[in-house]
Order: sequence, then C-alpha cells, then structure tokens
Amino acid sequence: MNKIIEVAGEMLTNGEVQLVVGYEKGSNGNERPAFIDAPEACNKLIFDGSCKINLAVYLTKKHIKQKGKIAVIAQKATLASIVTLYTENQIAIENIVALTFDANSNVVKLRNIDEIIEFLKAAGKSSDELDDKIEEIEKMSTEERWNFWQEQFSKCFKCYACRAACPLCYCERCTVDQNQPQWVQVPATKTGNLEWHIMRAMHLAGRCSNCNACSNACPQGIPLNLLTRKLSQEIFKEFKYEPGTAVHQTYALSDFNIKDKENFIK
Amino acid sequence: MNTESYILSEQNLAKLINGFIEAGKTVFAPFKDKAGKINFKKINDFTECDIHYIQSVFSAKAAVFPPVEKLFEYRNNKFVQEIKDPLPSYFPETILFGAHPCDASAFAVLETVFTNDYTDAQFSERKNKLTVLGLSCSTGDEHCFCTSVGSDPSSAKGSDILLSLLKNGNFVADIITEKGKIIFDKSKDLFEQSNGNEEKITAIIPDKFKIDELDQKIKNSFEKNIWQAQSMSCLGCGACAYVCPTCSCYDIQDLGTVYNGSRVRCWDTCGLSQFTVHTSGHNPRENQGQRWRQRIMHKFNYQPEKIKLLGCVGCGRCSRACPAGISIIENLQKITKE
Amino acid sequence: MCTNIYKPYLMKIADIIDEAPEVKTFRLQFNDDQERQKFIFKSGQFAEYSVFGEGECTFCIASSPTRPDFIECTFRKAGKVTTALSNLEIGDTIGLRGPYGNIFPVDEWKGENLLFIAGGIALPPMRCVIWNCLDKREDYKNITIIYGARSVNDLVYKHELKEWQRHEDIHLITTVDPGGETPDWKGEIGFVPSVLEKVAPSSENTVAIVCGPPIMIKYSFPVLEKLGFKDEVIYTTLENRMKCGIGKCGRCNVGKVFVCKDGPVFTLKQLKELPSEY
Repeated sequence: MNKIIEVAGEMLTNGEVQLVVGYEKGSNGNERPAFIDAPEACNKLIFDGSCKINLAVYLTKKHIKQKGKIAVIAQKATLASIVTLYTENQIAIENIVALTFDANSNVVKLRNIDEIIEFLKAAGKSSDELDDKIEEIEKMSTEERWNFWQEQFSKCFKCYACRAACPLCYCERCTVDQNQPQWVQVPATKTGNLEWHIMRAMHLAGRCSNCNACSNACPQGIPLNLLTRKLSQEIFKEFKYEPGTAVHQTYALSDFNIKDKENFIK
Repeated sequence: MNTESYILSEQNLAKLINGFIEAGKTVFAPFKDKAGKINFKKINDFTECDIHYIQSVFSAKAAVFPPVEKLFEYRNNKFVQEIKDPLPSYFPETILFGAHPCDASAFAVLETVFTNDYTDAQFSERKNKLTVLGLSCSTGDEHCFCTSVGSDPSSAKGSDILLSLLKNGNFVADIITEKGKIIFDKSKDLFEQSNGNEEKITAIIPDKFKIDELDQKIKNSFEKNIWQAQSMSCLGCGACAYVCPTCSCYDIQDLGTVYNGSRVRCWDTCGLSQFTVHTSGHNPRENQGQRWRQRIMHKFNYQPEKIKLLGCVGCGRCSRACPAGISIIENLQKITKE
Repeated sequence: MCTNIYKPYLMKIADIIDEAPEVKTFRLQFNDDQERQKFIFKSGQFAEYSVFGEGECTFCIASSPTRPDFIECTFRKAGKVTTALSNLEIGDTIGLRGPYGNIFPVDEWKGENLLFIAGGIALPPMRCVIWNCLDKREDYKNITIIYGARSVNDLVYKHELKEWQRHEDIHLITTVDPGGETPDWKGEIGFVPSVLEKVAPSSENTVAIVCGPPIMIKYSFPVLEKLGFKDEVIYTTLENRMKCGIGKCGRCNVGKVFVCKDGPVFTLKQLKELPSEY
C-alpha cells in the first residue's frame, strides 16, 4: 500500500496529475472515495479488499474533470469501465492515469487505452461467484423465478443509488427522467420497480464491468448484479464480447449486422 | 397526563401484539429479511418481527407517509367526469411497534409539514389512526447522534407507549399519551405493576457536536466553499433522503390513462439533479454542491427557523445508506469548526 | 377523511384563443356553478391545471377577480402537460386546483402611479393585475405599460393590446426585439430594458411591477434603480418549478421561503434577502 502512496504523492508533486482519486478510510471505519490534490495528504490512501466503490464513476463528473489530469486507483473492474467509457467517448484518456497493482504487488501506471487492455488481458479472467447464484436461479421454475424477483423488487424504493454508483450510468438525463413520454413510471410501485430494473439491466447489457457497485450501493442489498451479470453472460454467448477486452466501435444491442441470426423471429 | 409505568413481560408483549393483529389492526414492525436487512413491514404474527436491532435501513415514516399514496381516482370521458377520494378502508388503524425514539420524534416534524396551513388529508388520516409503541434503544453505533440534536435513546417524544428493555428480557412500558392509555386499558391484564427501580438497558450515545455551535456557524455558511468540498464524492442519488425519517419532499404523478386512473403522491428528493429544473431547462441548483447545501441548510437552518423543529433526529441512516460513504456527523462537525 | 386538498375543480374549456405560435389562452368555466360562486381569488395568485392522466402544471390565473364569470389561463406548449393541454378542444374537461400563492397588494397601491413592465409570455400574470387595476381605474393615478416580445407574432393578448392602445387613460408602449418587427409595425424596436430606459417613467409615487424572462428582469432592475425606484416598490412574480402549490413538496423551497406560499409575488427587497436559487 505504501507504494501507491509514494507513487501518487510523486505524481502530484511533479505535476503529472492534479488530482488523485482513490480510497480512504471513512470516519466510521468503512472505505470511501478520496480526492487528493496535495502530496502530503496521500498517506490517507488505502487499497485493499474492502474497496467496493467503482471509482470510474467519478471520471465523467464535471467537477472532477475540471481539476485537470487525474490519477485513479483502479481495480480490474474499474479498468474495464474505463475502456467502455473511452469507447463511448465519455472520457479524455490523455487526462487519466490508472494506478493499479500487478500480480507481484508492484504499482503499475497505465497511461493509455492499449496499456489498460493489455493489463486486463494479462490479468486474465477471474471466476465470478455470481455465476453459481445465477445457475441456482435458472434451475427455478418460471413462477419461482418471478416470485424471487418480485420479492426483491418489493424492497426497492427507487432511490437510484444503483444508477448513481454505476460508472456507465452517466446520462445527464436518464430515461426515467424523461416525461415525454414517461417511459418508466416514477413512483415506486410494483410495475415501476420492475420497469426500472429491467430497463437499466438492458441499457447495461454488453457494457457492464461486473463491478457489483450497483448491488453494493443498494441500501436494501437487492442483488442487482445478478441481472447485469446474466445479461453479460448472454452478450458474451451471442456476440463474444466482453467489456474491457477491446475498444469496440460497435455496441452489441444497437448494431445491425446483415449476418445477425433471425431464427428467433417466428 | 402523568406517565405511568408498568412491566410487560416478553411473553405478554407477544400476546399484546398478536392481539392487535387478531383484532384486525395493521401492525407495522421491524422485520429482518433474507439479506439480513431490517425494515418496517406489516406483520402477521409477533414471531415475524425482530426488535433487537440498532437501526432499520428505511425509517418508519412510511406508516404515515408511504412511498406511494393515492390522492384520488379520476374518470374523464365524454359522458362522465368525476373524482373520487380514497375510501376510508385505504387508511387502516395502525400500530407502529418497535420504532426507536429517533423515528418516533420524527413524526412531529412530518406532522408540522403536512398540516400547517393546508392539511394533507391522507397524512392526517394515517397519523390519526396511528398508535406508536416506541422502543428505546439498548444499543447504538458510531452512526447514531440523537444526543447531539436534542434527543436521546430513551426519549418518549412521539411515542404513545414507550417500551424499554430490561436486563431480564422483559420491558418497562411507559404509558405516555391518551392513545397509549386506551391500548393499556384494553389489555390491562397483560401488564404488571412496576416498582420504578427496574434496570433498563439504555444505549450510551456520545455527543458528536454542539447544536448551538452548528446553528451559529451554519447561519452564515451559504456562500462558503465547504459545500463543494463536502459533496465531492456525492453521487446524487436519493438514498439519504428516502431512508431519512424527516425528509418529506414529494412528487405528484398520474398513473393510468387520460380516461381513468389515479393521481398519487410519491417520494422525491432535492438531491436529484432534475428536482428544481424548469421546463425551460434552467436549473437553480445545477451542481451537487448546491444540492448538498440545500439539504443541510434546510434541515439545520431553514426548517428549524420556520417550524421550530430541527429537520434531523440523529438516526444516522443517511450515513449508513450512502453509497459514497459520506458521514453526516463528520460534515456537521466540519461546519461547526469552520 | 377531511377535505382532500389535492382534489381539483372540474372545469370545461369554454373557449380557446391562439395568442401566438405555441401560446394559447383557455377560458374555463366551472362544471359546478356552486364551486364557481365560492371560488375567490386575488390578482397574483396561481393555480395547478390538470390534464388527467398526464399531470399538473402551474400557471397564474390570467383573468381578474373583478370579472368572476370565468377563469382564464395562458400558456406556452413547452413540456408534457402543456403539450397535452394544447391538444385539447373546447368542451374538454381539465382540473384546476387553487387559488394559491400571495397577491399583488393592489389595495396598498391605491393613489399611486403604476408602471407595468412585461416581456413575452410573462404578460399573463400581469394581465390579471392590469385588468384588476383598470376595472378600478379611479383608484390609481397614471398607468404605464411597457410590453415587449421577440417578434410581432410573439406578442400575446394582441386584441387587448389594441384596446389598451386606444384607452386614453393608459400609456401603452409595445416593443419587439430588433429584427422582430414587421413592415407595418408602429411600436418601439428594442429590448424591454432599453425601452424602459428610453421612456424613463418617473419613480415619484410609482410602483413598478416587472415580469419576464430572467434575462429581461436582470437588465430591468438596474434601470429601475437608476430611475430612482426603491427596492420596496418594485414587484415581481417568480417562476420556480412548483408541484403541490401549498408549500409541502419542497420543490420551490428557496432559503426560508416557499415560492408557492410566501410568493410568487415578491418585492425586489425580499428577493435580495433570498439565496439566488430561483
């Protein structure tokens, strides 16, 4: 951990970056985002298994971008988010340096998109315990599955913490905030909740970095990451695409290819 | 009226609660779900509730101010134009059981907002039909700060009957209001005499800041930079407002078609970027720092000056729920030191 | 349940006037005449107009309490509800909830000169108070109205402007933005604040009532100051986003006030005491 503190401090001192976005210990013992612009304050930085927030969410915020060049402490999922944000033209990669650890606990500085993609490739795929949970749900009957999700959504109050914590939910005016027409109901009713979560999962299909920020953010602990992970699996199955692996100019669900299968159209 | 105290054994408490349920009343109590989160919900038996909790995720305000409240039903076509009030059955007799003093004292704030000048009938119905069986706190944690905002873990404010846990697992029941007395009178046999010396288990909540210092500093804080600094990590969601027992902002939406449907009142929050946006696109609070300032100044300055009640009860839910780990205690302390 | 404060009156659209591109005036009649008789409002107040199934929106009541047989509102098609309203026809039913808000203190102004300054779609809230004062003309001294819009076509209440022009007892100056004039335009050409400066009405014993887009207001206040108007006699009506209209939903909360309850009519003195979040 000291290495990150050193590197971050150096980068601020020599003006390589104007802001370090990392993690620190909060006053109540939990980790939380840290925004450091003074080298001596870097000793607050931590980077361990408790760090759950996906810091890429701050890279699209105006008040952060304004600060200049930014070093962001990145877990693998954060790196994947950065690749997707870059693909979608939401960040200026030349103003971002990602700091992470390699397999030998050395600090690695990733300065451009190719370096990030290479790093992710070398780090390899990590197993996802969500896959087991998804399998469990898929073994349920349609009715059991429906009941499972209805029960989960009944806990939802539409606080949009899931949306707020997701780096890829960067739309200035979200679909739910559109009222001409009102695509998704505003009140937290059964229908409204279902519409919201399905719509969000679909908007993330093929883009989600599987960082679990959404379910970690949910005050009720609703396992929203299962929805997004399930759709990630489907996108990979059908289109062989996984966020973070390449700079894709196309988006799985909005790109039409003449060779697309149509056997599901009856 | 003078507060009278009695002993209620754990067994008899169960009988009391089940008695309400059998009599057809709605009992709203804390319940632990499969994810281990405590929330208030309608229970069908005493065994469903879990009263040994520090704090629920969402407050008990839904008992009087639900997330979605029907205002009226409408029909509008060539032949019929009518508006129907919600039926009385929509507002059942409700017992709120197991709410901590922070939640119970929040009702006074909500009541002032919803009944000053214009009386919100739906809120009024629910509040009039609500009896609060509060539960004083036997434990707290680092997020609690009720003692800094003029309350304490065994405050009777807002409760009709206040239960306090004893070392032997039974409870002392303080009958606080007339409503509480009605309940007591109907089930006298469940209560025993108290000798007044029973040892209650009461949480110790240390002071986090002095409210008059905060009051002094916050008055002159509008133009300060502190709001931008404190809200750097704020992601602009509604978690803090929705879990809060005193937040009362709402939206009005129509559900249905232009021919029939209902108009509802639903929770909203000043933290969302679109809250104050005009149709022209102009947004008086266009950045999160301004919205954070509104939240804090409203709770600790604007509202108290108007209704003589603080807009915060120190329950700490906002800090527990915040996805960005923002601590309200830390921020209020910083303002006090500015 | 006690009175349901969210329940609107049912109103029939009795007439629709196309004022300007995308701007309409509705003349409304109460479905229930008893409700009409009990409905009392004062100039400056607003109401929440419903299209059932679409929602509510806030505009002032543009007619005057001195003409109680009908209620008028004028709006521009801009958002969801105004779009729904603009698709309605004569005979359709809408809801009206109100009257809400504080009032123009027309009684306090008795014996004074009145200067009305309005821009574009902001003439409606002023029309209410202008009609009110015209209907009690003997209570006031000189009445001057300066009204401007982007172009001739954008002027609202064109019929009334002609009437006011003909009235001996009113000094009406209309203006359009440079480039907005037509070949036969006889009025002024220039932005409202500059026309105000040119006309330079006296501030002696005069109350100024200003209403317009934020930019017009921003440049008009300094002109009024230069002309000697004190903050306490300059009135405006604020247009915040409002929902409940009754000071509860929080949307229009600015500092210690709710624009819907403590306003929307404010003096410049009161405005200066508010945080600039409107």
